[in-house]
Amino acid sequence: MQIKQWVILCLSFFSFVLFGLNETFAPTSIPLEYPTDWPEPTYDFSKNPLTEEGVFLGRKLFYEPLLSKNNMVSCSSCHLSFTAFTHVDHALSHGINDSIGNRNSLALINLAWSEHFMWDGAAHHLDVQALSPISDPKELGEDFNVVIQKLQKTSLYPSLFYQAFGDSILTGEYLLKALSQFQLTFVSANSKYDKVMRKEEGVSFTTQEEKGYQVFKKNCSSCHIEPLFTNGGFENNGLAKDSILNDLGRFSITQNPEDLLRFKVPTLRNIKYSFPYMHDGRFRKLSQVINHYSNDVIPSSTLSPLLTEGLNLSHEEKVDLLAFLLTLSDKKFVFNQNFTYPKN
Amino acid sequence: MSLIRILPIQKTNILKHLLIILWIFTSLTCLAQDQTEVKKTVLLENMPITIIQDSNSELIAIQISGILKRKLIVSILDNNGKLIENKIFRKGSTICHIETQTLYNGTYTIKISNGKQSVSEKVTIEKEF
Repeated sequence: MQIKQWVILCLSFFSFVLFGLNETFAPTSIPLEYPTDWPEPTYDFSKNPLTEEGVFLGRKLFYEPLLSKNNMVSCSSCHLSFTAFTHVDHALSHGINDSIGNRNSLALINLAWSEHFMWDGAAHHLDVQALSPISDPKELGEDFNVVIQKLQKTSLYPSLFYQAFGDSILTGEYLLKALSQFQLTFVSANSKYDKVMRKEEGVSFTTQEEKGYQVFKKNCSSCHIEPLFTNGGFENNGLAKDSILNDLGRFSITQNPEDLLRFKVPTLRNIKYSFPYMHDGRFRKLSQVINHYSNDVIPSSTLSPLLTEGLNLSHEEKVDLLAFLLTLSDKKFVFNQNFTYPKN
Repeated sequence: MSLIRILPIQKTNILKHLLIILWIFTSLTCLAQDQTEVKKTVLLENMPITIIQDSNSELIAIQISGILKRKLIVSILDNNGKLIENKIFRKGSTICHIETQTLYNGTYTIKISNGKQSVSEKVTIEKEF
């Protein structure tokens, strides 16, 4: 063996030893915190336990533009923490090269209790959901393997992956699990509604909010079930089909005629912050949403049975309902510093 | 004839183009009617304060033309004089607003006070709700 080769071998060995001394794999487990009276999360944490290192890596990746083809768009481009992890200034999501997608982005809230993802339920596990936006040409538009290669070449990510998963060789599985870990921490349970339900001292509904709560329970709670304010399923809520987008909803995945125009039932939590509303962002105001359910539902064979008669709310009931919906706003959630761009 | 010389329009297409222009004008007029804005100005110690209501924004804005030199209290009261909300119009700012999302249709009073003097103005909430 030549001297040059010996030198390279020795340097590699010492680098390995030094790396091993500096980088230790000792992830710190963290529990998912949520109210005790909530149901058990549906996410299987035994296969991807939360750790400080995993959540931090997921947070870095969530804000990482290298995940996109032109290195300019990240998950956070459409899912802003200050607006309950959705975008608010346009109806349809924007992607790389000024492309405009076909749908409004969903707010990312309480995902540990979600079994279906995307408006049409195209993903049925959080750990694979990110594959869709990363590869969609109208979103991040990047080959998943290229994403791994780009991140592997950085000075930062091999170390972060090692700290989180004990391996500095990046894999798609680790990347997706880290993204899941960060998103699983998006637990919103500190709205005025929550405080009233917990009977916290000094917090109560106003008369109007209480009236609105009764309107909600009578008319909306079948699909938007407390405390998560969703049934996790898909419904046709009687919207007129947009002739340009021609979005058929869940049907496009299952090809089952019963799924025509059925879309995921979104949570109502933080609805004040997550406008515009509906799968295509057609409504900018909550009053428009309430007016739709009350007076403008379009009948069809797959219409949610609960909406066939329309809600026919009076003016006062509509305003009261809106007042109640505003109590689902969780400022602690939208201003949580653990969710913002990681500076370090 | 002069229009034909300036623009590359065929004689036979003039009517078509005029119709398009008329359609655009009508649409813009309708849009303007959709978004109605009501402005009222009141005086408090000779300072003009404008109360602006925009049908699309579900809020009432209270604005002054310069920088506010001392804080004001802006209140909204219902038709019976019952206080609904107080807002502080902070010193150094130019605008404050009151959200009207949870107000029923009706007539309300906006009261602006500097602690010594106050002015009031009626506003009407009319939602397509």
